[in-house]
Amino acid sequence: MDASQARETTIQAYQLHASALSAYVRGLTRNEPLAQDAVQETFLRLFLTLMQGEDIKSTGAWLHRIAHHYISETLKSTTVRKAVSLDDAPEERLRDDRANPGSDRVSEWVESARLLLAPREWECVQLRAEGFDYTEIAEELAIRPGTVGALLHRATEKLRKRLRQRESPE
Amino acid sequence: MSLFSKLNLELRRRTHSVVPAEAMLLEPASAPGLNDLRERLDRWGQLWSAGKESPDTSAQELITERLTHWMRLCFGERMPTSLHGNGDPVSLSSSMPILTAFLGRRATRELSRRVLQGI
Repeated sequence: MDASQARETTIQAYQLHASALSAYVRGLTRNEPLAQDAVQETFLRLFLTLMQGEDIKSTGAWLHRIAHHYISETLKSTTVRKAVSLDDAPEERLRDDRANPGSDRVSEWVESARLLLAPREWECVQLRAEGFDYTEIAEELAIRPGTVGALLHRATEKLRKRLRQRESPE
Repeated sequence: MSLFSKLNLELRRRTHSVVPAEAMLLEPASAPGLNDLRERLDRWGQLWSAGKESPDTSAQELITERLTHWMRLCFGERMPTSLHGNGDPVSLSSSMPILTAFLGRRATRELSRRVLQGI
């Protein structure tokens, strides 16, 4: 979706859902400024999501979910002072100065992951990396969402173990 | 139970309880809110795929700087240059696929929101 289409869709969604969403967030927060912020932020996120090319099936439900999440996160960050910022991303874990930088390193790692994982686990990881959620992966592979969770958990454990072995090869 | 868990539980309870009376009074979408949204979307839309020829150079530079910072965090020091070897600055549209593959949709959405913060 290009920028003008995403803009138009967002504006239409605002005209259609903003009143109900405002009432919903006001009911949740009892705080007018926070409610206004939540509504604006929700529609800005809708625009960004559309720009990412994601297809939203039920816009109203999606908006309510995002607004709820935004309020919950905002209350969390104001309540819990020690909020963890995304700026604290574990840079040192992601960087491996010993390895070749750039795409060689990535493809080497991807290849080793493919060999390490069972075919079903690998399929799940690939779909997850493409941005699919558990339900979408389950539909794609014709399995239950719970099985997707189990497969991804197993795959993550294997990859973690391999990373630890690489970091301390004893 | 932590304070946040209690708060979250309370939020969920309110979500599923009877809607408060004032919540039923639906007001029309506010015009200032809509105008503000329109302005932001126009600006963000222009900046999303803008490259060197961007009309708003300072905003584009800020976006490039923030994106490069995040890509370094995610992929290492040389990744941004190896992705954009032809000299074009990193833009939101060009970096979204790799960031989505690496972080997932939700985290990428939040990241792009942070990149566009204050713009």
